[in-house]
Amino acid sequence: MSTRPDPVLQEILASAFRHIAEEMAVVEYRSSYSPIIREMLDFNCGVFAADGRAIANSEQIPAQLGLMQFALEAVIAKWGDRVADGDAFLTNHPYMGGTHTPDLQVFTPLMVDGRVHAWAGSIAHHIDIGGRFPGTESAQTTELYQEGLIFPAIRLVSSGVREAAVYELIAANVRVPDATMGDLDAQLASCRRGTQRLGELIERHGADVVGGGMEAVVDQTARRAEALFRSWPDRAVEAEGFLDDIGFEGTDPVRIHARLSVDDGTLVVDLSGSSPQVASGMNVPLASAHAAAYFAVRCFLGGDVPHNAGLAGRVRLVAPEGSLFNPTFPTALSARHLAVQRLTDVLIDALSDLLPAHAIAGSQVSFPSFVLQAVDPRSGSLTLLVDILGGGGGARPGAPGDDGIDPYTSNCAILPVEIAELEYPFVVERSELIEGSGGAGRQRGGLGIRRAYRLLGDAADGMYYVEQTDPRFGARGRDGGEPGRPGRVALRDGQTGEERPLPGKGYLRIRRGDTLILEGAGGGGFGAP
Amino acid sequence: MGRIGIDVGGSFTDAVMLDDAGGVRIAKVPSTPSRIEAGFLDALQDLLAAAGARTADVAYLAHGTTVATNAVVTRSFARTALVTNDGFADVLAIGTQMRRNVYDLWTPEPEPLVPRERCHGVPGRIDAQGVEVEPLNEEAVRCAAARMRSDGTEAVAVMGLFSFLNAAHERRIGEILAEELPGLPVTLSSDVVPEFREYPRAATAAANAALMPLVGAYVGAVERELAEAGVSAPLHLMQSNGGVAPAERARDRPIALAASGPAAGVIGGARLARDAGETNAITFDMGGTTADIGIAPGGEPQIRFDGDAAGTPISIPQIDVLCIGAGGGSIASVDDFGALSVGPASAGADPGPAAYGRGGQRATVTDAHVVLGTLGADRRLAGRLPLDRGLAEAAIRRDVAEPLGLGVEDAAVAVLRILNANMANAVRVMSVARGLDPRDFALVAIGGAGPMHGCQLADEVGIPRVVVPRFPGVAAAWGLLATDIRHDLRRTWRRPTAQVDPADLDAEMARLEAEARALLDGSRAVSLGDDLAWELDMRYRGQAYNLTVPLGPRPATAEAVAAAERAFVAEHHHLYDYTPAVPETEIVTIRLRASARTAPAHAAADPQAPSETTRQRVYDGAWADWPVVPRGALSTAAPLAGPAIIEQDDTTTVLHRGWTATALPDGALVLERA
Repeated sequence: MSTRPDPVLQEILASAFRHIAEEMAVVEYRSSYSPIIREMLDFNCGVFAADGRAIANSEQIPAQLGLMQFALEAVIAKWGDRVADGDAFLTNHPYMGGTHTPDLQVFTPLMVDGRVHAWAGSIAHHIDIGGRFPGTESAQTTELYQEGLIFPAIRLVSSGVREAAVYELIAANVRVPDATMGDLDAQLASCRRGTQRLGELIERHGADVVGGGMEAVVDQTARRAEALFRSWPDRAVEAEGFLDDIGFEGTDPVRIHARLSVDDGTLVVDLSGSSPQVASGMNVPLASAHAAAYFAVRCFLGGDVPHNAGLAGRVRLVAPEGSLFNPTFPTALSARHLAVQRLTDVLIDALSDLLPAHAIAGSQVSFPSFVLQAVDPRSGSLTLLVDILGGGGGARPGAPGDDGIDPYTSNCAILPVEIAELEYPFVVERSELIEGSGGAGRQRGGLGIRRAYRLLGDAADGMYYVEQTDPRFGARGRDGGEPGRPGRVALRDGQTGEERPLPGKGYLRIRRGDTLILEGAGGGGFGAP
Repeated sequence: MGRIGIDVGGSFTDAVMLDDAGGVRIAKVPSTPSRIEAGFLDALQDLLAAAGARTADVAYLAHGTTVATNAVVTRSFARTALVTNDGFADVLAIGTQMRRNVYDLWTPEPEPLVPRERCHGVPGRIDAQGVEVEPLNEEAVRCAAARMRSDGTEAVAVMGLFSFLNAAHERRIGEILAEELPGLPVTLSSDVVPEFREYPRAATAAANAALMPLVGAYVGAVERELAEAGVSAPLHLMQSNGGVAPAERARDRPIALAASGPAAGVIGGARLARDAGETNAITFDMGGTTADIGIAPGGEPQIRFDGDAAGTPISIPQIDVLCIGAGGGSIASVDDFGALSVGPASAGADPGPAAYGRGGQRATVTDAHVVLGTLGADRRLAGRLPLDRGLAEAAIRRDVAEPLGLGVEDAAVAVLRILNANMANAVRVMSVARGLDPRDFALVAIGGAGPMHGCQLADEVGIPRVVVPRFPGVAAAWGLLATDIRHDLRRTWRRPTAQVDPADLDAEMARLEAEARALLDGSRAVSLGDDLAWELDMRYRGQAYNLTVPLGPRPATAEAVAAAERAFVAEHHHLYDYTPAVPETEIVTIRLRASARTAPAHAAADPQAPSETTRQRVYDGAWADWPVVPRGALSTAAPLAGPAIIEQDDTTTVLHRGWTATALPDGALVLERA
């Protein structure tokens, strides 16, 4: 049952839903533990209708926006009538609507008189969820079972009581249990705040009116999106791009292709021309492919179209089963972000062709990042250092690209140097922009970032990756602009002082005094130089 | 003898004078943006003339200025350089590497405050334990100074890694710059923000340096004007932290003024609420363009320690205030999909709302009030502007009523509902989102438009009482007189709570106290005594977000540390509703708020002759006769029952049905829900 609120109350409710999602995000951010959430803001919170459709989101990181509803639908399908007041559900299963295993999703129902009226949800990237590699994530996994704990939409809290066995199991299987448990607590606190606020809203306006308000939010967004899509040129556009390799040295580039067209007010994003699934962790779960599409589309729809189920219903993604963007269970996919970013760039390229007034050069998608585990000699405890470096943004017709950004669906903060040195056994030797790395053009592309980490502890090991190291695949220039300089990774030996380049993706063991040097790629230039 | 508060805003300069007997004079003159100090003196002269006083009668002068705020917003900074560690010269250009507007690929990120070519890296490193691991290369500092000399640098910021633990390199760089470039303003990051995280520390130091020439010149000009006029009272300036500081301090620390504008309204509002007998206050300061919401549980305005201005993080203590685009001039519009929005765009003061008849075409909140009869067509806003009902109606009809298919009165009601919902969300952000229940608070309605919306806003969030001070239109200037002289000091002092040695803690507190006493010495002439309030920033080990909790006075004891830890655990549980699995706490920062008390401000009542009329106003969908009551007619004995419109020169108070208004002896009104 739902009752349509009058147009004024409707605006009031829409704004309340957004505020609730934002308040949830504040709770999560302020009470979380690991730097990946508290410094880099790799999380999102959302409000959902009783049937799981997305209504409103906080907007920390687009890569995690618009995909929680796939996981929530799996929770609802599994638990149905058995959902009870005070329950909380935990899921991360990539083949049950999840993304990759480190992204834990928590959902809590809002129940009135024994019925679910809404859900609050939180997704957060955890620093480690077990598996073969420290930090869980790697381009070099070869099956899902190497990617840590899998939670197939399980109950984490039952009528207000925590499932102790689940907590014990998690703590026993992850590398830094304090951080994981603390971050999970923060997610639960955030969801509880969300359901509390939704409850207050229902108490005030009635469940029917709030339910009707959710319907109207979705309808209004769908109508906006439809009208805008209908106003776009009636022709198909195509674009392609390549990943350097599948994650192992010497393997072939991986093709990403998209064909976009508008069909009766719905945007069709056809990825059928992309590579079949690959034998590494570089595949993309279907939910994450959607996040890339929603992001690119929202950039070109302008600021008036929020993300919710209304937009989702007007974007149709086509990805054949067994392909890079719709792999089959139990294909590995933990490093899915690299292909998500490249797909986003391909979509932006295609949309730039479709809507030339908004054409823009390519931003870098090198995404230099690493997870190194090392014992800190100051405390004797095991630490996991994570950092993500930015690179150059694409140039615009009237302005250069931004320097040192983590573009597109990603927007992680760089780790403060002083936090890195206070909390981990490393010294940051340099943290700077790379002169000349932006593609030349009438407007130049943005500059990449170079950072050098020297180990102070005895030994460290872990995975790293830098995509877009192949000069053929540098950030694309536009209208005669030149491509950006590729990314790079190198290791300087602490004893010989010799610096040697490393393959773009790999697993690393280093000793005291060794220095890991990462360089983000530059952005593409716009217009002939 | 009199104490004077002068608040220079964008449009008007407000001034309040309080004599020894509690008599109050107010003055409002147009600001003079091209020569702000002239408007300042005009207001002072107006006030003295009205009071029949001489400049020699001024005992104390507190001044609120938007000079620093405007410079930050318009990025009118001095040509500034940065000296930092070799390899880190791009610390400002890289920032957090985050984009502000993720979906807008076409708008460039704001330029860093100091361009790359004026950022100089010099060899020398302090490590994470505060130990020098590479000596400072002094020759490199002198080379940088030579480049500054040739590129026209006007101010310098210095940020060394880990200077919050060991400032030796920063201080030495400061000395060398003073030798090489005598007279050039220099800001050391360890002086302004002695806390970890290099980027906000560098950005705050750079913003401070960039403001020094401008603010220094402004303060100098005001002091010269005052001296020429024969005023010898010490000049104090309002800071973002809600306290005033001597003018000398403002020259060194202009960044402390950057968010001072809305702070005075919160301070003034909180003090006026206390005078009206309220313990907990939510301040609601609504003008032509924005509504500023502050909160003062227990009468204390809340402080936060980070902020952002025009894309630059500013890590200084500031009164926590939420500014939203909701004012009398906020524009109402309906988009192609039938969604009605109000603000944040504003018609401003010129051309202003359609009803002003000065060419404003868009429907605004003021127009909605004219349509509904809240503001009579015979009425002149702020004593000046005649209102044209026909123009207001035409704008509301075209922009709101027709697109929504509503009658013009219903459309005006809808505009106020949306506006009210926006403001209610802001009140919830400041209260419920922080674990505070608005039902335990009184709303203090100030600013020209605050009293018009107080009842409706209070109804929306469940606030039971609204205080309307005697002079809501000059509450910020009032706040200047209500505020103490305040200095905020802090020191990063990280260690697990369990390992704290009270003697160590006390030694660090003693150093902070000595610094504070030296600062307070500058205000001895007007001080009634010092207050020292100690606080600790604490967190659970592994978290990054701190909570600030009180710490007992010196000498530090184990029991005081334990009490602070208990307060932290309770506050964390209150805010986030859980205690972590590993409840190990740590201290991050020691904070000291040192204040010198100034004499309290109390105004005597100002009786006025009653002359009651009525006006037609729409309420609950129908026109009705509402009594129009002059402010001076309200009595301390017999409450006035709503509905009524209460008029005075600087504002209009709307008393809704179900509310009563009672006057207090000092002339303030208390509106209560029956």
